[in-house]
Amino acid sequence: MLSSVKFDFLIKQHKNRIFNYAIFMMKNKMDAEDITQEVLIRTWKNINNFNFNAAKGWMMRTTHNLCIDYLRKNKSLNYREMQIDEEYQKEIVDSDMESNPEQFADKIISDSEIKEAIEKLSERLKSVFVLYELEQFKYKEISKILDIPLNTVKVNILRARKQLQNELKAHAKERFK
Amino acid sequence: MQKKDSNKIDQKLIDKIISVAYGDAGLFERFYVLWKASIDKEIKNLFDEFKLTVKTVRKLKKEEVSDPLIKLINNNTTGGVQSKSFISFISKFFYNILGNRAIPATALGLILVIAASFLIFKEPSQQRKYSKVEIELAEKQFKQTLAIVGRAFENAEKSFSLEILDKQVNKKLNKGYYLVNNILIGG
Repeated sequence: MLSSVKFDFLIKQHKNRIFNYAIFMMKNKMDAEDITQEVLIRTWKNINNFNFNAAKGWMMRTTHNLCIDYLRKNKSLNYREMQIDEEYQKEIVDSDMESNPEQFADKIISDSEIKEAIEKLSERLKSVFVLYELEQFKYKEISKILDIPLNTVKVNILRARKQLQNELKAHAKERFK
Repeated sequence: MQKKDSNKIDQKLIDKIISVAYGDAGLFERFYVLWKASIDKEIKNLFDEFKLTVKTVRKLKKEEVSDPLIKLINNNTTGGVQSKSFISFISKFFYNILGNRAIPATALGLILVIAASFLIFKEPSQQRKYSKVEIELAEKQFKQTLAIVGRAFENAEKSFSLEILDKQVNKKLNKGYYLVNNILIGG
């Protein structure tokens, strides 16, 4: 009985957090729903095995690992897409110096633009950025969830912020063309 | 000239601008970046760009999981059966207040409910009144008890001084003195 109460509580608290993280990682809602379902089923199966206070971290770690597994399985399908992304990123870096900051600051960034820009970040940068900026996790928690050193978390967050800015600048430049 | 201006913003300064824009920087860094932004238009623009991004990122609307998916998950896990017992209701209620401490929340909930119901439903206790005869009898019995206890103490004191001190302790002490004397005289 207590297990189902615990589970209900966990679902209520973390379902959207898991879903949002999965959306950014998988770049589509259907896969994100699959991941969310899988994470919650695993949570139910392990409800009596993990420390309840660390449930949030456990669930996010499971979500991250499942996302990585899904992405690896579908790597061959996404290969072409990733190549395009990399070329796009190079273009952004080259064009960075030419962009006009005033133009950028004057315009309003839409939700879809920023989501797109976040999705274009590499998995490594995206995971830390989403966890830190959108899901409000602390450096230490992210370090545990992703199993990477604390300094790497900090460096990756800074890199993600810079890259995100470059992506948005590129968007802005395209608009004014 | 434009190129020279761009070179002024080195990587360290950009890092500081980013951390100030995202609200991670300390007070000193914040003052430094704001001061730099106030004297350099290019830095100000860069700072504004980052601030705009941060504002948009933080305002991002979060997606919500659809209800059918949650129902499906519930069917696959708890079998879709929601416990409707009293304890379940109480624990859920306190769960939502206290957060993720399941057992303490349930326990605290139950304790509070029991305490509250005890206070509400408890009948006021009636003080029993004793008759004069009963009080006198109790006093008499109390005095008798005290007398018995006093006698017992007296007996114990007597037996201690006579039996234990005289026979057991003094006898052994005397024997000890005798032995010491013998040894010293002998020496």
